[in-house]
Amino acid sequence: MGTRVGEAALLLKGIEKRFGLVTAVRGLDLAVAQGEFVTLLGPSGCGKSTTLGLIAGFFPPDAGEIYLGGRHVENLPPFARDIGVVFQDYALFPHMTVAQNVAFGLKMRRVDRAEINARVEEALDLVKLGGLGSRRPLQLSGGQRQRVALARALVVRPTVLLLDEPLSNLDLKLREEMRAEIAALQRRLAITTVFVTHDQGEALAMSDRIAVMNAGAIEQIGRPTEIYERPATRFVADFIGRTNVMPATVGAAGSTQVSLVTVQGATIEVATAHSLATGARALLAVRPERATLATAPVADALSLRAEVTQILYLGASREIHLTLDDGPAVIVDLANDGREPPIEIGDRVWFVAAPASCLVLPA
Amino acid sequence: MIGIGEGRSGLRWLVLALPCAVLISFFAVPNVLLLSASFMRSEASVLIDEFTLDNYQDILSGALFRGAMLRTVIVGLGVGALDVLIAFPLAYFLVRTQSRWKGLLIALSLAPLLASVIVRTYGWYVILNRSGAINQTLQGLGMIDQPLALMPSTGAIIIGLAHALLPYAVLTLMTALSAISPNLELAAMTLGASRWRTFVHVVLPLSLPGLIGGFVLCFSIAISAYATPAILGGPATQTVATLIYTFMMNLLDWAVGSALAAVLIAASLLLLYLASKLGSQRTAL
Repeated sequence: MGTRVGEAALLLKGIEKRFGLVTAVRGLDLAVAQGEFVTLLGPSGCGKSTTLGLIAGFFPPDAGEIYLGGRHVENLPPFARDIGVVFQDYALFPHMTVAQNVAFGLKMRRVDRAEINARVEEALDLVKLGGLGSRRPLQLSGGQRQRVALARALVVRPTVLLLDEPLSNLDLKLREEMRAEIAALQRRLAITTVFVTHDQGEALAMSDRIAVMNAGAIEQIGRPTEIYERPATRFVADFIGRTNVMPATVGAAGSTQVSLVTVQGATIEVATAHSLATGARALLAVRPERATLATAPVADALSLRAEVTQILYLGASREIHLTLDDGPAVIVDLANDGREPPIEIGDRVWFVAAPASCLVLPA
Repeated sequence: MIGIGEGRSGLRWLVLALPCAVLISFFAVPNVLLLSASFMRSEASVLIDEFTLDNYQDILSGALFRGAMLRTVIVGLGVGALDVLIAFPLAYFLVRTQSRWKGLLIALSLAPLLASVIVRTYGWYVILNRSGAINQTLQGLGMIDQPLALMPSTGAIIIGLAHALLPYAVLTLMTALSAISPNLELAAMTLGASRWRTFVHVVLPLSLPGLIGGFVLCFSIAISAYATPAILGGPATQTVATLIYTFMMNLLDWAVGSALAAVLIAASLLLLYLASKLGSQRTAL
């Protein structure tokens, strides 16, 4: 990914932000291409909302540069940045109608009245709120308010759309509906978007790229499949989905392949991009849905003795909790294929994972 | 359980009975007496039980009364406007500040409430009188030869009352402003509104109920205030309140005094009514 000013709709270079003694963002670099949907994902306090606030101009960075559409903006106030923001609480103006809310940005830009009316109507149709322009925000449901906030941010055709956990106040069904709708809208309008969330499901479903943040810095950035299938660190592996992690030692290290010795002395050949020295400590990670159970060890696969400690029926799958002999507790997700697996609590089984399902993480 | 509920409601009546008794005997009854006295004739300081509208006629036609009433309204408007203007930025700062001294700053802003009105008013007396701080300073600097007649004056009354009543406006506005989410201001700014336009289009309309409330509160306390106009005003700058005192205590004319008081109360009630109409109209929008 190039980071030249001309290429990116949004570019952050070496951004630092401290609040008192707390460093909220440390040395953050990020380039978002024109039309791209990038998600900042991380736990609360990781600096994702601060980063959004820095892009919006709510406070200045202590160091670093911000470019929006090639324009140097870190010293500009929010109203000079040409952005659209959807807030977590929507921040609709309660003393204005829906149409007045949507028209606000155009009015501030001194667009003439006829054009304002046309664009407001168009924006409300876009978010499926046509005909509700004369309502007050308080008369709308949560989902409708969300749509008004989206229309208000989009109608000014900003350089970049910033979404600050916009779905977290909606109930589950509505949230899934809105995330599909927002993603479709974003692709249709090809508007450069930065989305902040702590919900990995939203991040995976909606993003072109995900930047996983931890302690004020980006831990890993990449396409959703890269982030999920090849997490670079234990933090990323734990935060996106769930991961079984067990200690391991590097046996023989090749350039793309590494031999790991893990619990029970088991050995497995795993592909890796990390350069690891022979004898180094590492972590072996297996996603619960990529592991399975067997009554006997499987050749050419990681096979570990284990005892079943719990079985949770989840409908679409069964979550089998195991304790590895001389090892940590692990989980296996068994997809529901219509048959009940012949397992009971206390059974002795083999935890099995194919080499392609195993990941090496730095210790 | 019903028995306990009944017992509770019995207790509730008992708890309400005391304040009711106090309000009826020391507020409602005196007001009724005052109102009825305003319709009686007064002869040689004695009220005569005979219905008349002369007292009101006297008030509304006499230049002394009309002057006092005009001044009272000017004082009310001046104090209300001045307090709301000064309180707004202060209340905004107190609501939005992230300072860890926030609590202390709020307490300091409300501290004038702790000092007696008399003490605060004499403070202004010391500053404003002929040989007071302002005149001495200006004379010392050679900017004036003769001391300025800063008081007694309507302006001095307004300044003294505005100072005394500022905390009321600050409290009312703080309540209104703290109900406005900071995100609304940020949202307006991301949509291209400068700080000034954010204030005009978002903060001001949303804080209007608080502005009206603070204004009405200061106005109605100011028009009925006695001590401050009595100290910072003089015989030539009477307000309705000082006039009532003069009639009742110096001239012992309770009938005219009562009529004046009734007019003052009526004016306050009318204003409260108008303000509540205005307030409910805003919220219904």
